[in-house]
Amino acid sequence: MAIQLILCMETNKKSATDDVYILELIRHIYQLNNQTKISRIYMGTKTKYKAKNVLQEIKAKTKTYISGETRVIYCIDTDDHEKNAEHKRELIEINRFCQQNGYDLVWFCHDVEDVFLGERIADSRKVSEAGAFKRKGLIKEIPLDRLSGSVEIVHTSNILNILDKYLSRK
Amino acid sequence: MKSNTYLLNMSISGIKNIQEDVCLHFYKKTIDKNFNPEKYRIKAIYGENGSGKSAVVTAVKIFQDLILQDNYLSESKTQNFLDEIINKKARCFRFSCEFLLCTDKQKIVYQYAMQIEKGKNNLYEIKHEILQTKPGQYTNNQYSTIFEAENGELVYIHCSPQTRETVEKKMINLLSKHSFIHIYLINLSEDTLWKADPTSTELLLHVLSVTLFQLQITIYLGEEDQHELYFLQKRLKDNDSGPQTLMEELLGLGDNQNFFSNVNEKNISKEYFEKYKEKVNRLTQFIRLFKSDLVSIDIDAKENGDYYVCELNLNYGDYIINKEFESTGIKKLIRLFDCFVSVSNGGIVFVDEMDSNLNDVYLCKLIEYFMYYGKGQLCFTTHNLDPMSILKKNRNSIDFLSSDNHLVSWTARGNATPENCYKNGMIEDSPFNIEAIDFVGILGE
Repeated sequence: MAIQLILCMETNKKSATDDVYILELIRHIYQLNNQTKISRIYMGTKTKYKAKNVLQEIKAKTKTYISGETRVIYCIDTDDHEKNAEHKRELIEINRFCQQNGYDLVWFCHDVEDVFLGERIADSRKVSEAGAFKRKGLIKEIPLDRLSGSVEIVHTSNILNILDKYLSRK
Repeated sequence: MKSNTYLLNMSISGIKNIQEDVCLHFYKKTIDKNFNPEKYRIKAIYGENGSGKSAVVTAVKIFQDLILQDNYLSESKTQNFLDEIINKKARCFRFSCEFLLCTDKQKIVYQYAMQIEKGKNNLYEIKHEILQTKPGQYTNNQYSTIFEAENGELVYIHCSPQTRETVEKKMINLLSKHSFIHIYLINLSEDTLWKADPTSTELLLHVLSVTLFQLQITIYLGEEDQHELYFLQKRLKDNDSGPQTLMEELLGLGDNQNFFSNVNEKNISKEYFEKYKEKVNRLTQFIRLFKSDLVSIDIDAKENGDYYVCELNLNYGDYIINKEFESTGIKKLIRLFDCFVSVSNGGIVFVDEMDSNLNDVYLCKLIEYFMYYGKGQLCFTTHNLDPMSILKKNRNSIDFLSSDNHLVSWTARGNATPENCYKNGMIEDSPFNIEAIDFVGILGE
């Protein structure tokens, strides 16, 4: 059965380095064949998770994909949710929104770089670090248990728990 | 008697990266007395790099060569070519097609199939060949076999025992290396049976129908050399000791399509030189649409026995450029001219990479012309998405070939356009899971 995964990303298209890590992971762990369509929606910022244009884009991509089912996955950085009440509230709201709409939530604690590189990276270095990650094949060195978390702990994510539901591992 | 053929569908497997059956439909799945190809004349095949688009065109070329070329499978270059081109896993090339022969009196549907694979001597040979036919007036008509050959033996032939005996003698030890149709055609001059035996005449008519269909096909495959096909066609025309009326009818169509005066042919028979000159004049008018400063295309003809060896020079008044030194785009237009003339006049044309080196606007206008004014069929491969906006108005006109050999025909999806669906990876089996960011770390920092 063909499937479309719509990944709703926090970033804008130009600085979409989150894509590099997520796609490297998908290609490394899962069978990515012609029956799997990975679509992206770039929200610009996570506060736009239910903005009209984002919801319209989800609807349009779902409607256009007639080959199989579509699943929507929000990919969100937790940021400093432990000590910043605003960040915690945002995370709770996005989680609730996803549950209400039957969407999945993938979280990265505190952000994608923190999970895949082990540290947070300044915006100016994000593209070069993502390139180096890919070039050096560092995806092979990521401990998979770090990507199968159930609680938002620093350097971890639940991404494999979510993707395992829809994709077959190699 | 006016006659024409129309390719209804074809199926191929075991060539290049096409391992399993890929079936292209050029018309509705059923044929009846209301056959009308107007909305079905053009097909564009889209697909990512390496999906097998060129393999489709190459498969038609092998089918054509097998029937029209002398000793095709006996030549070492063919064997080497097949060694390279036949799918390494399937190790067996299959081609089948259905086509419709329309005459003033009737419509006949033919189904032809052949299979090529390596024999005991490690050389490629024909393992199976079959021709079937049915009347084309009603959808529920059943096929009846005209001939069938398997492993070099004639399994069945629809004729009298007397004719069968004669045909079998001619075919002994030949059917694994030659198509039944080719052997039958080449032996036409010795065949006197058709005069006496009605079943033999019927068989001859069927063989000529397949040949007529073959002669209507023009293939453009990059730098492919078409000279051998040209000489075989010439030989068929020169064979005047066969059943003359049928040959004239068959080759009359060839003349209409100017087989012997193609502007891309260098060796022009003196007999056809006037026609060649007329065609070069039309080529001049055609190229002038794109290059308004072109004054004329001059023929530099050198005599060589019964032929002229011809070079074309493009005259711009102040200067002259040999065809070979023209811009890549103009050269491509010149090379495609014969194909365009053919499809305009009822031919069946396959063009690989139609869009390469052609301006998008010109490409779309040409396609539009064939849609509205063409009398033949045009099937081409392309990467250019612009023609989709025109092609979607027709039927069975846009096919997507995926890297795993699945062919998906475009069907309307509300307001969604084929070009947007395709480039956004929304066509079944063509997800295009690639983004600009994927090149980060590979092409640069």
